[in-house]
Amino acid sequence: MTTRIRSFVVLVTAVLLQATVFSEFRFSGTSVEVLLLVTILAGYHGGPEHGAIFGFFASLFQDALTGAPFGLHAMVYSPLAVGVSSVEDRLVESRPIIYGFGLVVAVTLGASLAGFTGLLFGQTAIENGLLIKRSVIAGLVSAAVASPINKVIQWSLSMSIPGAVELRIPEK
Amino acid sequence: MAAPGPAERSRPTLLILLAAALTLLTLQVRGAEPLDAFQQGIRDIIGPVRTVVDKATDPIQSVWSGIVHYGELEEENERLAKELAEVRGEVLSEEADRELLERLLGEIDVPYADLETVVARILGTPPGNFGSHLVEIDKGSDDGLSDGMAVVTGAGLVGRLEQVDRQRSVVILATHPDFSVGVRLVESQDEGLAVGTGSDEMRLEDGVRLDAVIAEDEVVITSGGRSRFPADIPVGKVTDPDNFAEYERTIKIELAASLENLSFVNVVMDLEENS
Repeated sequence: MTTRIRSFVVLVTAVLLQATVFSEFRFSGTSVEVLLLVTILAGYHGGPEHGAIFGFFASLFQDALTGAPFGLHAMVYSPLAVGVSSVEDRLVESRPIIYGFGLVVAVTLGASLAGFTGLLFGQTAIENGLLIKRSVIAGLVSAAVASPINKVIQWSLSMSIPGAVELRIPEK
Repeated sequence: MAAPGPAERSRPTLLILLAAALTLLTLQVRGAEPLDAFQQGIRDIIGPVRTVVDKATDPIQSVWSGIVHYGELEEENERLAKELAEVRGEVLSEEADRELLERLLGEIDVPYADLETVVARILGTPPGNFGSHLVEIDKGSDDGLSDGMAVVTGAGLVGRLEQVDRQRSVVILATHPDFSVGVRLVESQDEGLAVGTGSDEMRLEDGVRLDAVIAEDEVVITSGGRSRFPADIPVGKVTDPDNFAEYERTIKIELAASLENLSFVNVVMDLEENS
């Protein structure tokens, strides 16, 4: 199976999860942002270009689910995936706690920016305080379920990641 | 010269995607119907899956709700116990109020109870984290519903339909800041536009005379006319008549229908169909 087909399968599964299970089980009125989460992870594991394209399509589904006009979430998701990829390039230390914290920050940032973009275009009617509170909770609950989703994203990209290159000095 | 890195290579892609997003956004905000239809199509495809998962996870949802809302449930129990005690102590007063209400309804000849409605079950909050003052119901265009229809309960106005798919619809509640409805004050007969405030009350802003004498607890009903809301649906009662306003009058209205813990609502079919 090619990376594109795997990514499509992952995207459709994420859409169904977002529309069903994760919309039903809310914490303090806030659900896991699965589509944002897979965008961030796609940017992290697949690089900026893959992340931006994946994020674009994920955002279109998010628009359809939430009834927002097409393109609203793409203004945030694609740049965020590129940003995450860029940060990943510069990461010197790789400890699980840093990944976890980074994920909370990324989802919180993405969710709040999407919310503020909605306010800007008159598509959201929510107080700023509540928007930030829900974004932070979305960041925390999304990070809590990120581990299995991370493995799935890694699997979807596994064919595009080159294996270790063994360097040999040619024998004389 | 060094080859461009992944970040440099992704810049044109990102710019193209952002341009595409902005184009789509502009088109849809300006009312491009094919895009609306496409979005609705996606939701209609997912709709049956959502219904199946809803039913399958119902028991787990109840447990989850019990865990997450335990504190709220305790508070609600306490509040209901207090309310019950108050109600028991005010039975006679309630009787008198009921008689008064019946008399008022008789005076204004309210045909509200005779409207053709479709009963719908509240499914919960629609997907997304920033949709406040919105609820989702289990009826859609297959049941004859369409955008803008009034949603009521036995107690009064609840909101209007905002996004109607084949099997589901989203109701924008009367407290939503984007909600507005033409209303009439029953005693003073002044009419105005009531809007949602984002809190649990509505505000009557335009149309009411500065010198109109409005009593606290005055009943507010929909005014009808060219509105898609039929006339004479109870909206609520005045809690602050703002009688001493000098320039602009802002009247606060407490809604008749409780918008919390709704289970079922009635969607009022179009006026043409009712007549």
